[in-house]
Amino acid sequence: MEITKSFEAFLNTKQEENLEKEFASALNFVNSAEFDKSMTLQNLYEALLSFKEVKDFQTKCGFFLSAFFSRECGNQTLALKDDCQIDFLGSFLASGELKIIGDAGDFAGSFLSGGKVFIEGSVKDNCGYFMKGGKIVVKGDASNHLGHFMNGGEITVEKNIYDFAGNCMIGGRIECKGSAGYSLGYRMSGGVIEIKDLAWDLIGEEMAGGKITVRGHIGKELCQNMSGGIVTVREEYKDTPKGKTFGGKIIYSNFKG
Amino acid sequence: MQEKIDIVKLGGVEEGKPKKPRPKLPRKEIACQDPKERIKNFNEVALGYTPEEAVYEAMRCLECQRPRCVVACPVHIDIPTFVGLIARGKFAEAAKDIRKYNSLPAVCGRVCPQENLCEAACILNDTNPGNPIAIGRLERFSADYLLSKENGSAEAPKITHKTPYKVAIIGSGPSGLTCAAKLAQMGHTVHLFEALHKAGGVMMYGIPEFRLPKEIVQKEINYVKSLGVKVETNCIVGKTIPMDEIMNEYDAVYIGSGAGFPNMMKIPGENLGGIYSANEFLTRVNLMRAYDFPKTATPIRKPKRGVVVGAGFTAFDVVRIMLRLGAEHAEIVYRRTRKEMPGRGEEIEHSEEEGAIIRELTNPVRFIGDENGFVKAVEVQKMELGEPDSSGRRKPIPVPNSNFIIETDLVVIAIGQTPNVLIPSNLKGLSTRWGSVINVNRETYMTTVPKVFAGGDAITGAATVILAIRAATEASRAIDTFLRDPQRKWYPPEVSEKK
Repeated sequence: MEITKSFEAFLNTKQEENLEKEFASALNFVNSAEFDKSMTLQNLYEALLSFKEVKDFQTKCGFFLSAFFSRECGNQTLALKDDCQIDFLGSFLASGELKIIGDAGDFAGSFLSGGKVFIEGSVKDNCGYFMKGGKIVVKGDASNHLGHFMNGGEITVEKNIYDFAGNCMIGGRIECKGSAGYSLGYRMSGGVIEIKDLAWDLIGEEMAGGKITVRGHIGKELCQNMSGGIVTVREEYKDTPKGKTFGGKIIYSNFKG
Repeated sequence: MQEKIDIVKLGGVEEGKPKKPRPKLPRKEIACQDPKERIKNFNEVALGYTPEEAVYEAMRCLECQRPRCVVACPVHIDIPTFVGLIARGKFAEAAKDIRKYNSLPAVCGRVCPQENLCEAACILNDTNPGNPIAIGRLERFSADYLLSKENGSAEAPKITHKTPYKVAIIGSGPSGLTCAAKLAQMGHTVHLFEALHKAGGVMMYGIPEFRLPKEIVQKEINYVKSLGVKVETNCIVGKTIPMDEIMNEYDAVYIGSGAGFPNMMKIPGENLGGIYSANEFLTRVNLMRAYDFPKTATPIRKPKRGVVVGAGFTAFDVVRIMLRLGAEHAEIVYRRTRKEMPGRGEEIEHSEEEGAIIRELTNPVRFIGDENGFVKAVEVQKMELGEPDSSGRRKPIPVPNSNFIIETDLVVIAIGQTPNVLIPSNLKGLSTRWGSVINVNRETYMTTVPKVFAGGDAITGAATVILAIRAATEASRAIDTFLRDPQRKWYPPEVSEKK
């Protein structure tokens, strides 16, 4: 079956009960499709755009492109068109390097276990969801829930990250060169988060383990309901009101040396 | 047709040309009505920026590469972009850009505590403390411009995809309206139920005309209606319509019923005539326009000497209304100091300009009545501050033998509100804490009852408009995900069995 026909068939299937099964289904459709060996991810994306008015396109297209890239691997570049948000780009990647030019949708680089996803624009929610390894680099901003349930690997964000970054994070590393929003490291139990500029209210909320470092200004209610882990903030914010803590450690540092 | 703006004449920068920011210029103050004049009327106090002033202020913005203001904004409005559009004379486009993140920009531009949020995070504070970009005033300016030029609703985006799902929203305050607007934009059919005769919730009954004109609120509501949201007023869910009917008819329900149940002091004499809860007092004045009695149907006791207990946003609104009702003396009685006051700096300043007295470290212990059963005085006690409590503020401790009397003929208790118990008591299985605050999953806004979501003050207790908008925005995404999920997976909050 021609690859666009295969995608159309995938688009008409009922959504699977979990994301792994949905990806496996997408992979089956890609494997059963016939396409020219010279076909790149970019060619496929442009061909699939003709279905963009169909319901669930943004999710299904993301899975299909990710499945295609997982099969073909290597190093590829995908230039996105502004008017159509695609979710799940670079998901389930185990090797290879994917460069995305433009703004990615939700769940970019989710379930990543190896390889590298380089995003030239910004990403929406849940980037690096359930990530186990590999690396994600975001040149722009990352929206809420960056590294949700992340267990390994590394995420670098060049600009800002919004709320709930490192939410329920178990391992790995998040580095942000800008600022972070509310509830940084919410319910985090492992891993490392480093923020170069400020982080707003509720840093380390309900945190049980891991390490958070904020080098700039901090918001209110630091470490609310914290039970473990280490949070390092600037010495000058020693008097900033803290939340109720049950354990863990807050270090006030001058970040010299 | 949109009016042509000569941006060079206004001091801005032409489209396509690089902007040279002027961060060293002082912050532009907003014009206000004269205090002596404004206490005689209920017209808006802050008059807003003129186009020249707005462009001047927008030209101060550095349009940072990594804007801190955006992370500090609870709904993450792209502030540098909209400020940049104002600097380029694109006032209406700026408001449209804000509306992508916040459906009520004209309201938030007026009542959001920007000095503790986006403006507190502005990078200009690092070099010149207390001189950040006036983000709130610029938001207000652009939103007002759009509402005045295009009547707002004409700008509603067209909804192309329509889903078969129906969502009921209970409460038409900032949270309900935002959730309704977002869900309507996602293509769902939305019905909004309001108990009062006018939609708007706290924006209509709670915030006075001189701080938030009702005409502005109505225009914002019209915008939401223009998205296809059906608003049903005079409808108390749980009384007018049984909760079961709502549950059967709709695919999802969002509770945004706010916090409209007043806290009282529980001290002797509280049932005397002339003692109001802030909710009752504000509803009479704002919604029923009691200040115009007998032209309107609702009366209010006009004080000579008024006392307000509390020092939050509401307390300052009440004391300013007392002065406008003709009080010769109106004072705020607060058990902590000015430093711990939850009210906005601007509101405190405006109240004092208008003649309000702030009595710190004082707490009422009983109310004294006259022979007719009306309040004639309050007995208060001096306080001192101890160690910080769970709220992070220093705990007030009574000073023995320090009681004294304040004469008054009107007392308003403004010490906070909690959500109404009506909905929790009518919805079997809905978990609450502190009696009526609904428990939700912090990430999905799902309650313990399947297909019922909640947000805003109903899940936090009384908070700010912007936090209600934030909860509603996140909840709308969760509702959309739930509706599109073929299995309709439900993630209720973790509620302790002991509770």
